[in-house]
Amino acid sequence: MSDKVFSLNFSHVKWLLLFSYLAGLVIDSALNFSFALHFAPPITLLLLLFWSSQILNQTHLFTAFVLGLLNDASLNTPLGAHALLFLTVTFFMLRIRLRFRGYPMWQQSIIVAFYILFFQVAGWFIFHPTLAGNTVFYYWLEPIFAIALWPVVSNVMQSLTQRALFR
Amino acid sequence: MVMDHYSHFLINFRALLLTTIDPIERAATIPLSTYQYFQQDFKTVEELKKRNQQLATENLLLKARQQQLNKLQHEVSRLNLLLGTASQMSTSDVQIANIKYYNLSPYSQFFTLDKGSLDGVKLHQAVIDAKGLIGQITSVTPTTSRVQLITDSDIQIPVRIQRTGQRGILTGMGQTQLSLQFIPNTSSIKIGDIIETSGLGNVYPNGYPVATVSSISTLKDQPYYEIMADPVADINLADKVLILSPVKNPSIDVHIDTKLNGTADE
Repeated sequence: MSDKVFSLNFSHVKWLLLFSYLAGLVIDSALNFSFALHFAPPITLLLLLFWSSQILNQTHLFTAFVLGLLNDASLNTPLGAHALLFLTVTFFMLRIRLRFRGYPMWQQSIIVAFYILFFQVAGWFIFHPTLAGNTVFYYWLEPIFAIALWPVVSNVMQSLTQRALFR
Repeated sequence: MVMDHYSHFLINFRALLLTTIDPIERAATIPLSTYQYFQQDFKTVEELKKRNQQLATENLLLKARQQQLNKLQHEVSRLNLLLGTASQMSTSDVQIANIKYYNLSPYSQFFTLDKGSLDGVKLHQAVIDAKGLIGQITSVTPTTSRVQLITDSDIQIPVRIQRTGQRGILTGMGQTQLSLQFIPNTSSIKIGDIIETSGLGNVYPNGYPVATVSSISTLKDQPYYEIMADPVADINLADKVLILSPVKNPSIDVHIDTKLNGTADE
């Protein structure tokens, strides 16, 4: 039983993993199209960071690339731009994922906020977003939103993972 | 990324990705469509809705035709004054489409329409609403198509000022503003002037209103004005649009009246 907890494999949670990415894409699109919230951290990226830190026998780089491409198609940005950003952030996570798993939640949230900050800074140079008025603040506040969102995403996914493993 | 930005090699790949995420985007708009459904007046009977739909469609077509007529009036009077010529406009085919969802994010501004390649929609077709130009089709899937709006910073439109005929390039500034470039500071321009498509480049048909001049400023040591403009189309309110057929020839064919020329020669 402990093997399943400490060395989670793709095969153990493949449906949950695929469903979570699908749900993440739907939520990201809904935030854009239904609620016009353009400054929420990408849920798919947070999910990618979560799975990168949990499933250790994979690099998740191919997943990052595909999710980035789908984001590019959805947001009408140059193909490969989000893919590059997703790959870079995932690479950062891969470098520290063993230590990351051992950190308390608040420390994990701060690290994720730094990743999102990098995502925003690199996005600023690549996409040249047109910001006016309050949107400038919202754009740069996205890492702060990520701090609030990471514990929710992490706890929900951990709970679902445990249910998937021991049902 | 560079290939996609500077060339059209990946258009088909993008269309494939868009087709893949189409069900995801449909699912994502369920909250909005549910909200809109409950906002409707349930007292309205089915026939009344249909009638209303018909009238809205008819009204849209008439307003689009009116735009062309205004343009024609200007053109005819100008040509008659100059050469004693007559002008005739080729009628372009239009297709009505509904806006399924829109994205006005800081990265890109676009609409998704409910008409795709199965309905005959092609890349680079111009899209208008009842008041003026809205944008251009930039990607097509079998059942949907995307319209990049004129306010998007990647869009440049060859235009002219309706009153004077001065040509320039209109560029999106994001949000709801446009910038009119390459207007020399010696030319006559005033706030409220209407900017219309010039038809150069054969992407946007000639003579559709695009924007009105909202501010003009002169920059020191610069040969051009800095001009800002507001789009005339209801970019944030439109729910139905017209897709214009691709431009094949210049839309105005000038036929010199041979009789008049003949008398002049004699």
